[in-house]
Amino acid sequence: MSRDTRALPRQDRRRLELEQRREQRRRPRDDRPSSPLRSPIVLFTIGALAIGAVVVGFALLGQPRPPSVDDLIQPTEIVPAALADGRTLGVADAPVTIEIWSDFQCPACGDLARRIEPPTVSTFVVPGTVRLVYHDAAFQGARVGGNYDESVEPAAAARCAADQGLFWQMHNWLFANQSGENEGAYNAGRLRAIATGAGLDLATYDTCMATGDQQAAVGSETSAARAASINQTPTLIINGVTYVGAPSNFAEFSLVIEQAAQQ
Amino acid sequence: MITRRVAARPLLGIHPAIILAILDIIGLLVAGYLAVVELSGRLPACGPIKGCEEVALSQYNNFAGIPVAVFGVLLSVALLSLALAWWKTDIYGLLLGHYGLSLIGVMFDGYFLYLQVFVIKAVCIWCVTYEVSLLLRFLIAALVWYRQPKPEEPEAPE
Repeated sequence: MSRDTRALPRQDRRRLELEQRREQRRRPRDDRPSSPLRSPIVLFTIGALAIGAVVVGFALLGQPRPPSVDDLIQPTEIVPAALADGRTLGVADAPVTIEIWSDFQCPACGDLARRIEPPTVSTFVVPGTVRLVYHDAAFQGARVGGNYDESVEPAAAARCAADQGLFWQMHNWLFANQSGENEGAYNAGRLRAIATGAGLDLATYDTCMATGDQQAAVGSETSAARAASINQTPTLIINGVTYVGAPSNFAEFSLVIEQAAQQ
Repeated sequence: MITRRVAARPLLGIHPAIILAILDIIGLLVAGYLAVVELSGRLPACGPIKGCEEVALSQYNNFAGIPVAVFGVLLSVALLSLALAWWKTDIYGLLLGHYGLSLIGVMFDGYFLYLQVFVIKAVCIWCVTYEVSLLLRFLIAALVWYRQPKPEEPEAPE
């Protein structure tokens, strides 16, 4: 199509070049060799893949780490392991028996476990005056429904710990890491991290949790609590006398224990 | 070219945008239910199937502090808008938009399914329903594009 314009006079050459350019502009675009990369579907696919990769990349970067023991609060209380027997703590012939009906999710139970129980253990359990007996009244998780109950699962985890002789260690770790109700504080991953902190053998723990037997046992004991008109946690039964709620301070609680011991 | 109008080739005797819109509404209902339940601090109902609660309680169920289901709602609203706009206007680019946006969603859902299976170790049936609906939307948009006359081509005789 294009002619050699070098032999023409300068003005004619310029005019011819302009005409050639105009002709090129007039040509339909489809005359140009089309690249498959210019197809809209290819452009949309590449664009979507790129945006999708960025979105997934951001999600991966912002992905929280799986819960680990390092993220948890380590309880400071030391369990007198020699006095522990399953879910009881203290000598069998102690003059005072305190039955604690509790829910690992209930804030008042957490307050009792963190503030009142440690001095009770050192002042009354270790010398042989008091024996603590823990019972499940797993009420809080039922409020939201569903198959994963955040009251039943930690209680089952504590029973699995009891099978390994570590109930009270697990009890302390659970209450130290209580955080909100039905908000994932005791999701399966965090419970495993708590179990690790309490020193459980994880393979045995996983098998124990998977059977569902301990969850069923928690359910049975919770039903027994309701049948016994225990509708609030914590409920303490001290030598048969029922006290509802956590004691306001240890001094007041000491008086109740001393009175019970004298009777 | 993507702003040109091209009459859609019917799929199952109807405008394919209607099929996409129906799937978008299903996805919107599922994601809407999960978003409302999770934002109100409750757990989704799973019936006899376990898994929804564990996924809902998982720390991976939030992205930038917002439940993943909320993003599912936004995506479904955007996809539904594109499907309805394509139905009403036959603008070729709207079909491509539905295709591209659903592809982005499929990629994220693939990642979220990986988290459920391998990290959380629990699968939420509601999430899987949404993921299947999104995959169908992407595949149908791709099929419709494949069958659709392109703006530069003459329409194939029916």
